[in-house]
Amino acid sequence: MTAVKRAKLTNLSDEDLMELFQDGKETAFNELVRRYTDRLHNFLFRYTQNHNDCQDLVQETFLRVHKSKHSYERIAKFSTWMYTIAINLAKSLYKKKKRMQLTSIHRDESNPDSYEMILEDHNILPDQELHQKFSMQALEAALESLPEDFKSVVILRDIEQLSYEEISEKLDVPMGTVKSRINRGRAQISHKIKSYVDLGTSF
Amino acid sequence: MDFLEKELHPVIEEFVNDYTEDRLTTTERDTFEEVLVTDDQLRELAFSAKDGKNLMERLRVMKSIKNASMIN
Repeated sequence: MTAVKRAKLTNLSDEDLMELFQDGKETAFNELVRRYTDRLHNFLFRYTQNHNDCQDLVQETFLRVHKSKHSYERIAKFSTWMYTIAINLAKSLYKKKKRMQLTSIHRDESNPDSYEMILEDHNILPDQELHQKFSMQALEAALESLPEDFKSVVILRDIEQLSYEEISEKLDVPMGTVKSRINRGRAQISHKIKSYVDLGTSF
Repeated sequence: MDFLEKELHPVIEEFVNDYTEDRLTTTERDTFEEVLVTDDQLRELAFSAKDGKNLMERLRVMKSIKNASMIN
């Protein structure tokens, strides 16, 4: 992004940026991330007292903002909306941690009410936990491991967001082939990630 | 992964593509989903492609968050 364009974005209010982002301007989202990363981290630190948790929560909050952009309405301040998302995520994390601390799998012989717990199969993860396992590294590794023909089209479409026409021209490959390769490239990524999560192995 | 080897008619391939990117009308999507019910390999391809697309979307956003916070 040029310095002039960036300067224009920095002059806009959060709500204006959000409106631009809802209209598809990804740079407006980046400006919101730049504006709020530190503030969000400080806000969450007061709640979690843990910098690693804060980093994960900041990233997850921005991911939620990105995913739910159309549920934001201008009647609310952007910061209030975003902090609500952040605090809800922090509360969920806190509850999860509390559950983990309280759970003991051993039977306490001195306590007649105590019983041995049967552990659940942790390979079956709820959707949110499953997605949190997909670190950037794991996703990049899955993408990297694709055969070159599939990798290049997926990168051009899903990461660089080129149109099908642009990809077809750039690679000098017919449009039908581009579409077919994108379908299969994406499908392979899903399978690689599933086997990574199921088996706990790298690619 | 047999479904990756299966050759599809270009029109079906385009349907998979539009289904993955949510570009079908409600009627088109309902019709396509009826086809998916009867074709295991096509269903596997369409569902996996949709899942893979969502994962790549997540990667793209994570990259953009990382880059934007590095500007600070």
